[in-house]
Amino acid sequence: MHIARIVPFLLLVLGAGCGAERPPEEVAESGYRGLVLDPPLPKPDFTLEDTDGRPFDFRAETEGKLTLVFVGYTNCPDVCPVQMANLAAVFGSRRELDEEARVVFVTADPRRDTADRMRRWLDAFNPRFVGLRGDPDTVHRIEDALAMPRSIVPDTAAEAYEVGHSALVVAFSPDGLAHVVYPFGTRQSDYDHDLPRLLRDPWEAP
Amino acid sequence: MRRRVALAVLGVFAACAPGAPPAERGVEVVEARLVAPAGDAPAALYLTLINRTSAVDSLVAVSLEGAERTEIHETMQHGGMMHMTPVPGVALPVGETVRMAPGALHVMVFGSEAVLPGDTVAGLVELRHGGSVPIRAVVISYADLVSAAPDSGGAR
Repeated sequence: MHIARIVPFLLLVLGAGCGAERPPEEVAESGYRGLVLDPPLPKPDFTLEDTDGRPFDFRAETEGKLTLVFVGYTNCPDVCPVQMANLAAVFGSRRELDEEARVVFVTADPRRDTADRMRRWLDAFNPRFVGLRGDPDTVHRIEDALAMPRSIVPDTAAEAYEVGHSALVVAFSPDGLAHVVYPFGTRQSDYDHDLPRLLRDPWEAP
Repeated sequence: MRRRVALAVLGVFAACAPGAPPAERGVEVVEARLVAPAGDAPAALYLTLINRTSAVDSLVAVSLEGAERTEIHETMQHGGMMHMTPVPGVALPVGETVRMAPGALHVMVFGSEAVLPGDTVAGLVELRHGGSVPIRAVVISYADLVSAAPDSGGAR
């Protein structure tokens, strides 16, 4: 657990200041271009409302599927849509992902991100991407379980404000554990390399 | 707004017309990409600027036809947290190329008219010392942005 928390943090810090610098291109010993977590993260147990207003039981709905989770907000013009667009491009070109994997976007900004607004935003990437919203306490609990820093929504009555949030995509494998995470700066080609492997990797001990 | 931008564009062209005295090479905007927003989100504009003058300048404001307002933002990372912060300007050192990119600098465009990839949108870049420079931003999609950027896709 300790390493799981530290590794993504370190990589993000290393990436800071370099803007769009890419993460290392080499395929690590793991065979993955994302950051491998050891030990892996267990899948959090929560239920939030989806964009149809129905309860979405995260564990039940994603059981046995490769599930990519991101916490962000739709007023974000830079980091969030870039992560979503990269995933959408790879999902669009690989049929097995579109069938066997899910992308779950959890809004950190439920005040502005209504179900309709989130749906329109996600539809711009892939209509099958799931959008979830809940109260801030639940979102913080999910972020804790994903080993992410808690998102920060400013206490303001204004309509225009920015939300601080983790830029990680956490990938839960079909075995229900997150073995790999993807920081901002992960390229489309990295996802294209890793996601089909994640679908098949049994993660058995050697 | 539309008219004012058009006039400003004409004014700048006039200054370059034959017969005008040769001007010092200025700050050049070599690329302007406006990403069509997803859903109701604000749009992002990414500029690449080169300061070809002999003095330091800075980008202080950007206006875009059909948009209510813009802010220059820097994306910062602290402890694994990404956060956008408005910045008053972007330094343009002599002879250097400043390239805005996802995760670093962008111009956030509020209340823009609906745009589609392939459209172009006129605008003005305001400099602290060098006056203003007209731009024509090319509208692209986020898919174009991530497949074109060497940092987020494309050929290896």
